[in-house]
Amino acid sequence: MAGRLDGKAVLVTGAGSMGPGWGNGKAAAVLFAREGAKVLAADLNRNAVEQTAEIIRGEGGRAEIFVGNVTDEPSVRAMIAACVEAFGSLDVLHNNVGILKAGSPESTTVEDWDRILDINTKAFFLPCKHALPQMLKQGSGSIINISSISGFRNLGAPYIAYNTSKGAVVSFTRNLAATYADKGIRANSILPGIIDTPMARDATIQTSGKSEAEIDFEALAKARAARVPMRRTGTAWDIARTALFLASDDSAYITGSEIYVDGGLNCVA
Amino acid sequence: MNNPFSLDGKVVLITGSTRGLGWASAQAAAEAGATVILHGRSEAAGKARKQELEARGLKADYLAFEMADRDAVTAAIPTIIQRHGSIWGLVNNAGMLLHNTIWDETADTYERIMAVHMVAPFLLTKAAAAEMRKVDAADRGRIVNISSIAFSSPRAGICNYTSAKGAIVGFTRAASAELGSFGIRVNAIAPGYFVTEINKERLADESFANKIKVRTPAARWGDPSELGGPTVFLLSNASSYVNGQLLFVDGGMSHFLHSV
Repeated sequence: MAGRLDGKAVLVTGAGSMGPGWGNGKAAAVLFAREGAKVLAADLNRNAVEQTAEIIRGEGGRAEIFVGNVTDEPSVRAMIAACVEAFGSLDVLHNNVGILKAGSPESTTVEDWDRILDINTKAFFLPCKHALPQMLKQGSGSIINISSISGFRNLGAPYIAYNTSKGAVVSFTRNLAATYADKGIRANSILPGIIDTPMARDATIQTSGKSEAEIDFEALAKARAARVPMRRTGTAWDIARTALFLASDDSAYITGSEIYVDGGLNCVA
Repeated sequence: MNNPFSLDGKVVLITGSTRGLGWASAQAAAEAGATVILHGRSEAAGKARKQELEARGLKADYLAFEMADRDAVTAAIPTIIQRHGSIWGLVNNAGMLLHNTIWDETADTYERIMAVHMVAPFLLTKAAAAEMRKVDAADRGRIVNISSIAFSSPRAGICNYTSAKGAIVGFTRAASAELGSFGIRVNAIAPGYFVTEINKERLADESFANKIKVRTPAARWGDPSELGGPTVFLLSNASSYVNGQLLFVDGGMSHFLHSV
């Protein structure tokens, strides 16, 4: 059976996982490749992104890597050029990079605020800025931006800067979508809920004030799952599957929209 | 590799599926492997569409009943269980438009619209979910409710329809919270303006057709086939952790315009 992304060139940023297991970018890159896409897996961390590419190649898929910084303009220019050079086009841009640091409005330092807002918005703005000329040339493209439920709902943890940046991702995406819809370029946001990824694990450690060994992750996962109508936390694959839908032509008339992938968390009091 | 969009072996009822967006969804679901239970008011139309799908090597059946007839609606799910043994998916799509300004609107019209757009979907959901619950599996079923762009971007003269399309969103969110723990996911789709029979008059009105085009960022009306992908997405495992969502399929219209 033909893949949903047969022949498409896909660029995934943050395609390496920051720890053992599956992060959102890594799962998306692997799933896109399984559906026939040629994948440029980009990340700041060479080892992490090589691992992702190895998995894809091991499954018989096509993957190249790019090691660089999505908040640095020359690096982003090179990344887009690398994709077009390797695959001849850039059909799907999956922006997945973001950093997380705990902090309330009172405790967040100006330095942290600036750094989080800078990285978490430029990581979307710059790849789009430099991918758009190529997509305009093609007359087509799908951009997928990873926001978060925490951009719009208070989950109880103090992440003021991160949450603000994730709200910005949605505003950015809506604007982008409106501007380029008539040029055949679509842009949509995914808002993950409580997802079990290496980055989420790291966040838990940050807010707990305990060491990794002292945290009972299993009990925590159970308590979190109980809050979700579907009674489970999500996985990187859940996010990847929705991204696949948005990447494919199945969503040809969907642009400027947000999809919460949260098991219904935003529907409960 | 297993296909997350597959509906192989699944039985799916799509109300109002002999034409328009329902028919587009029916074709997409059947192509994804489902046995599609077509529905309309007319036996003849249902039968013809069933034959049309079967001629393409796809699986289909049909039921004819009135959405405003509570007894007929209540009997639908048991009939499907009797004939096909199970139900995996329900797409509450059947609807009608009655143009009335608030000045000539009546309580009777309101009740009729709500019966079709809200009471019937509720009854079908209740009956279908009761059957889904009996299945010995963690993942038991899907319900997809068709709302409308009118909910977020209303226009004058269809107050009754718009109210009902908002009610179904509230129902979707409430049902998702309640049925999620049973392995049943409930989501909604808000279609924008599509080239369908129900929109024939609006499409023929050049100034209206143009206005929609201008106010849709994609700069075009939707093709009915473009609703097939989103429907299959929400019915299948591709949307594995999506629950209680309203998915706009509108070429970007919802965010960029307050009224048409």
